[in-house]
Amino acid sequence: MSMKFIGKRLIYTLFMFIFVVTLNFVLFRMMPGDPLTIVSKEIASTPEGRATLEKMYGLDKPLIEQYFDYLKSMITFDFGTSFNYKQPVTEVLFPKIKNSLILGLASVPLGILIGIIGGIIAAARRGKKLDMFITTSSMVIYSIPSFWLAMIFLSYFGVKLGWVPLNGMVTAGVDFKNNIAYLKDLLLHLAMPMLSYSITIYGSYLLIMRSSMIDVFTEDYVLTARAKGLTERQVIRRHVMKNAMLPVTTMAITNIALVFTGAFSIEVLFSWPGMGRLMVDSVTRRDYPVMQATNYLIAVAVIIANFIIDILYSYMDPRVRIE
Amino acid sequence: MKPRLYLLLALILIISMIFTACGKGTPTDQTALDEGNENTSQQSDEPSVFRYGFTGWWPDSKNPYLSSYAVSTSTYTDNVYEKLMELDENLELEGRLAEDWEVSEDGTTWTFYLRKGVKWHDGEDFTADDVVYSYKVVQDFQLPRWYSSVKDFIEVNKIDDYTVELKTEKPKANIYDGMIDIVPEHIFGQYDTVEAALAFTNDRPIGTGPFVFVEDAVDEFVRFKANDNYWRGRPKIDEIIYVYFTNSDTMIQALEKGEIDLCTVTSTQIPYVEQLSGITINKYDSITFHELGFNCWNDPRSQGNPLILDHRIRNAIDYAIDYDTMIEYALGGLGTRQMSLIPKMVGKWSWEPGPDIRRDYDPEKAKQVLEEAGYIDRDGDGIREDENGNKLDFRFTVIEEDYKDQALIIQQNLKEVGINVNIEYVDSGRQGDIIENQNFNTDMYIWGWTADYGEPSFILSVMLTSEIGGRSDCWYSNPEYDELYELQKTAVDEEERLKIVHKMQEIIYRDSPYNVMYTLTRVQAYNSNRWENLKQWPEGNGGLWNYYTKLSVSPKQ
Repeated sequence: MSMKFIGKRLIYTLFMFIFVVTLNFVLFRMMPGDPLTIVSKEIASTPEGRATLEKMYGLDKPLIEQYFDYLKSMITFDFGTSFNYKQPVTEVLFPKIKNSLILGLASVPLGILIGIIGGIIAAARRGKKLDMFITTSSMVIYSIPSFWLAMIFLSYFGVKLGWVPLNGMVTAGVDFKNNIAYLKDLLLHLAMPMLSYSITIYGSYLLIMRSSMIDVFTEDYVLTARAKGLTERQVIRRHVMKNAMLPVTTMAITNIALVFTGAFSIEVLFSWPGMGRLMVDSVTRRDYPVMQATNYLIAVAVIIANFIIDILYSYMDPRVRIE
Repeated sequence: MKPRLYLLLALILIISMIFTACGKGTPTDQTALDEGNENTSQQSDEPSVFRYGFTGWWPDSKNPYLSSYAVSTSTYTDNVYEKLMELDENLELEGRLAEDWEVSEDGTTWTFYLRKGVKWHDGEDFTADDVVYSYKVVQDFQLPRWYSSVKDFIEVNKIDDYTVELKTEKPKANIYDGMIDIVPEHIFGQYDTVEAALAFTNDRPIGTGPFVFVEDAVDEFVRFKANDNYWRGRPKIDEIIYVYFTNSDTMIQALEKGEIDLCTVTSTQIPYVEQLSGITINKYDSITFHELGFNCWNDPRSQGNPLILDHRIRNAIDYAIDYDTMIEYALGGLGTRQMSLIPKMVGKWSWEPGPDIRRDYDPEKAKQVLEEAGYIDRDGDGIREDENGNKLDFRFTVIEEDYKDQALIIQQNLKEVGINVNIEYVDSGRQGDIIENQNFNTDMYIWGWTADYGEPSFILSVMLTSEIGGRSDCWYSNPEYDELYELQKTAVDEEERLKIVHKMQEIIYRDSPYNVMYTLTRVQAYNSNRWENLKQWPEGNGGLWNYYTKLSVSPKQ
């Protein structure tokens, strides 16, 4: 893999980056409605009060100055003060990202793993009853709205059986004697959201893994491998899987890069204080600093993920190395 | 490669959970809790904890000078801070931090005699210095939240350690409007520039109120414990916790399960909650109303249809709408018809139109009013026109998530009397933008207000000419109304003030810049197996989660 290749990719990434960052700024300013009008219904606002708010939000500066302030803040990761929470944006984002990471890192790898393994099994037994069962059930579950499924789980396991708590990350207002008690409470709260979230993810991985494996099965070198006398299991493990993994890898890396953005419907249902809900709320309330910060982080994550995928691909598939 | 990747990710997960555990293991102020437990004389082994569930927006600030949302006051500042006076269960003024007060002959000087022996939650003494500071800082820095309340006080004087004098230029009838949260000068006083004051987040509020802040987690919960030294007597409950839900259905399930003790119920949930044993329901009329608003801006720049400026059309529209059906279908029955600008539950200030002018549902009368005003369907297309052929064809912007059902009913009702409305669905940001930044580029809209209990000046002010570009969303302008507003501000004699306020509502009713539709009926449910002594506020028809309940609620024996 040449330096030139990596270098080219880096420059391309940089341009993407600047473009996305500027688009970020412009798009939000183009949205009708501004933070002051949203808030004016909630409080008794006088002209003096509005002027003070405007100053607080930095909206009294000319647009160009706001843009350069914005660029500077993006580079230094100092995202300013949230209009909605009246706190530094980093203080608002950090706990939420952490909470979404906990949920995401528990659920997403699990979902991916189940999907990949299920896909392999289904492909290996393609056409047979096991395959039909796995494929059909995955499609059905994938089509069911995630929040409905989660509500069913919650009603049954949470209310009827009372095994799990109904909302939040931890039980409110309890003083935990030690970290073990705390961890136990957290895990109990995590169980339902994690189950629901992984179920919504595994379906697409399973189906894509299965179909890409079936594609590879039709390749000539698989026929050769079988002719050489390798067992089916050896064929799958040494030849098929590596090549079938490519599409899933792309999905997986992007999914994992974006894990910090949370899952909106799961978080709303379980009152999990994560990024998903924050992102939607900040748009509804025109909380520019938070919106800009989250979109920026997403852009960074996706761009880095793409970069990694490009490099990884050229490593995994030598045909892709462009000179 | 796969299993190793998963192992790596599992490791990251475990590390982040341990990290969280270290961060959140103990409350931020263990000592506050320990002290509290030592001082309590009545000892049960378990502290009694009342959990209140809520949804919607999370509070925006714990600093009473900076918060914009109603939920910030109800969740944080109402529990921790107090004002000089407040409204009691009958919506009459009672002294809180002020034991007594009097007003001078000419009505311009208010003297407050402060309660002695009151302490801040950190042990410092409450004195007149705190009151003077609390008022002055808003005036000097023009802090957003209370500025309009205090700008009438031209002087704030400390007479002695427990006496404060507030002077106004003209007599101030709405003295309750001038009541603000009193904050500790020894804490807030350190932030002595505007920038510093605006940046002070007040993470651990210290007040004089019945509850002491313990800890909170944004978008999760807030925790308070009883103030053992509260001047009115220690609340019976040991702790109250506000538990946040992002989903109201889960909240009801939590109520059922006993994870929370009191919460609001939506109309669709009522049948389910009614059949739960041990849960009691409380319904009451609120002071939040929704109105059909009109573009009343009589300026050539207005982008509205000039026909809508004819108040007779607006009156006719009021006759044409079947509000009872609307309440039934759009609100599931949880509304009460409201005709005047000041909702009934505000108290004695509210006015009702007499039988000679009130407009009940009467589509025939609507048609009659329109005909008499010269709006006839001249070309047979079902829509009326004036004599120049201008159609009664109006644009109707509607915030889709809040008012869709109401809008469709209105559209249907108006079609039946020969008025055509074209609905455009927006969100609240866009609706504000259309009015404020696009020269009022619409004709009709639906919106709402929440009035104040016991004091009409806020809700009356939304119709002032001076509020165009500010609070007003219909941009109505009537010099007679503006004059009466100034008059009632200085009418310290209550009889006189009532007359003026009633007259103002009559003017609005006749002119119809709003067709007020209904007040919302709120429903709450609480665990009556476990708790007793909850109080309604206002008494007889009010919500259960209030100052008086928090003082008296106790576990059922």
